[in-house]
Amino acid sequence: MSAMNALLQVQRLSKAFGGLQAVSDLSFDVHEGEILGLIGPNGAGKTTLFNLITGVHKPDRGRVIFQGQDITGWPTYKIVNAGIARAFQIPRPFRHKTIAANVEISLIPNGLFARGGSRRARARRVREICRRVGLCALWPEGARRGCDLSGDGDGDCPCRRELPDVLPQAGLRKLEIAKAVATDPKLLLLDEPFAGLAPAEVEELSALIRELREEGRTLVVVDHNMRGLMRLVDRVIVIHFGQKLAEGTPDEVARDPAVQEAYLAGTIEEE
Amino acid sequence: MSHRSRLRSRLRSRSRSRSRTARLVKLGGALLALALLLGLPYWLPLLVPAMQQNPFLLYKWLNVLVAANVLAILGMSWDLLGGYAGQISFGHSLFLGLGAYTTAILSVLYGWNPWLIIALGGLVAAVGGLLVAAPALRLHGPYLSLMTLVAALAFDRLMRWLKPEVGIPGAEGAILCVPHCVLTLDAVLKYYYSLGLMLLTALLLWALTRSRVGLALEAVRDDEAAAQAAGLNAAKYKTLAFGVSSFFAGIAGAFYVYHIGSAAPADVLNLQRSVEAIAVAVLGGMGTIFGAIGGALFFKVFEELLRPAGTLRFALLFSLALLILLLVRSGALGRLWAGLRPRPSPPREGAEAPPTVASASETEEAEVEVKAKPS
Ligand SMILES: Nc1ncnc2c1ncn2[C@@H]1O[C@H](COP(=O)(O)OP(=O)(O)OP(=O)(O)O)[C@@H](O)[C@H]1O
Ligand SMILES: [Mg+2]
Repeated sequence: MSAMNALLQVQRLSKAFGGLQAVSDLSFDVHEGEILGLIGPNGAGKTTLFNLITGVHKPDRGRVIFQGQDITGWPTYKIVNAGIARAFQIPRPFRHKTIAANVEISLIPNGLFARGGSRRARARRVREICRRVGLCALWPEGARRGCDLSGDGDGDCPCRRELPDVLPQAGLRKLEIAKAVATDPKLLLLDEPFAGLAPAEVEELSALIRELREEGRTLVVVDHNMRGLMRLVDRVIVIHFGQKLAEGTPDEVARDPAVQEAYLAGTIEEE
Repeated sequence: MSHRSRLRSRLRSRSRSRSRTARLVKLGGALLALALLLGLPYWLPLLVPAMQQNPFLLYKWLNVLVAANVLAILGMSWDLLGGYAGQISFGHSLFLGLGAYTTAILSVLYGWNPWLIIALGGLVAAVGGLLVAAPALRLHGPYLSLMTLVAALAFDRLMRWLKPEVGIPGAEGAILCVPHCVLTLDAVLKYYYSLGLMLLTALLLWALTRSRVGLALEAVRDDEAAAQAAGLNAAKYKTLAFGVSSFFAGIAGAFYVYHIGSAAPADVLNLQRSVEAIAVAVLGGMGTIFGAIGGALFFKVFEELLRPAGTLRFALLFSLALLILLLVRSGALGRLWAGLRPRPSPPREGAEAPPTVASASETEEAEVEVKAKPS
């Protein structure tokens, strides 16, 4: 595998919590422009892996290389600004802020005198993102005129008025993705974005993920099983007890003996 | 779908025109309050005829209001740090004192332009704030509060020990700087100076909290990890809040010295000043900036009305403040307590998501998911 098209390289990453080896000696590459599936049962270490990549936890051993740069041990905000964003498994909105403000927070530059664009430009970008992840579509047609991009920035979009607590589960996931997309990431890490969604919502979200890839972003999508991922991802990595069990195209992985054994052992669900 | 109808009913209940009316009422109230404050030296004697016979009674009350304006600046500075950045300081008397001592010393030694010296008082306090921020970044909740408290106490003891004898040595560590630190002998003019400074502070802090910096501060306050995940440098924003907050607290202390003519540990370094800063900000509502103005007016006016009670007045005053908080503003108090509690460790990602109120079909789907998972 050449380092040329590897956007992210995870090299021999290990992390233990007390006596529990959550991630052990894990290595893989994420290629530029792909949708990579990361599957594994409960407690396999998928979320921990995201936490290690985004600097929430420091790895015990191993390196994380992003665009040829060693980002191991960087603080989270710096990694995010370098181009890796992450949508939390359990949606984590700022509950006292409106939906639009939640998204706007991701657009704020750190430099005090940095040009973060005008307030109006930010509001426009927020509306753009809210629309594109389908947050506005949660409201009935008549109630979301202000979401139109043609407006002047002070439109009547419900996202500008409402707090995240009005959102159903699917809406909270969309908001989580909107917040991540607003940081304009090269690499987007989605932690179980399909959990708890109805089939129609899964379809809608899959379409959005493909669209994000079309515009040049790379995605890693975590799930418990291959059910939702089969037709979405280019490649799959199966994680088991913090280790890599298999890697390949969805078909290859499904045929992999080790994976099949795990399936038979009942530790990985099959649909 | 049921969540759609829920959304729809919400939309109907919150009409846009109502919020617009509320905004107009607020604006009208603010303008009225501003007019009352601006015209106070003229309408107060009309209201209290005794002041027409005895102008000193008017001056006394104007001095009370000067003190209220100083306390309002202190309270607003506290609110930026506590109400917006979520860093509950118990030691704002440190920054008040830094501004006050800087002013007292510079006015005696150099006698520069008062406004320059007041600005320098703010800057020295800001440096102190940045020094406190460095360790504060590593601390959360009550540990942070304790650290600010101890820092203020340490500075208090240091000044008592140093006994700076620049002016006339008075009480332990006090600097008497009159006649060097006199802004004006005109009580009405002094009132307007303090009012102008207070309004300028309010305007600047309000603008800051309405800007993207304010939004970032609130994000850091509400969920630091999520703010980091949004790309925000939490440490930088907290440091900024410390710096700006201590700057304005220092300005309050500096102006206060020009008001009373001395800087004394028992006065400007008194931990009671720290408590007053919190009290007026919380009374007026945390995270509002302007609230502290009302809180400070209430506090100082009642302090003066209770003066016949002697030293008991502070016990009465704080009891009254506490009562009001419990009765009227338990919400605001609740938020202070929430800020004091140690932060719960962030929800662990492996844990089950909290149950959400979802439409029937979603709940069913979720149950199917749970059942499908091997335990
Ligand atoms: N902060 C932490 N402290 C202690 N143990 C942790 C921590 N985070 C994760 N773990 C443990 O590490 C293991 C891997 O957890 P992780 O959350 O990464 O799994 P996961 O693959 O995301 O599982 P799920 O599908 O349930 O989300 C689990 O046994 C978990 O209990
Ligand atoms: Mg997980």
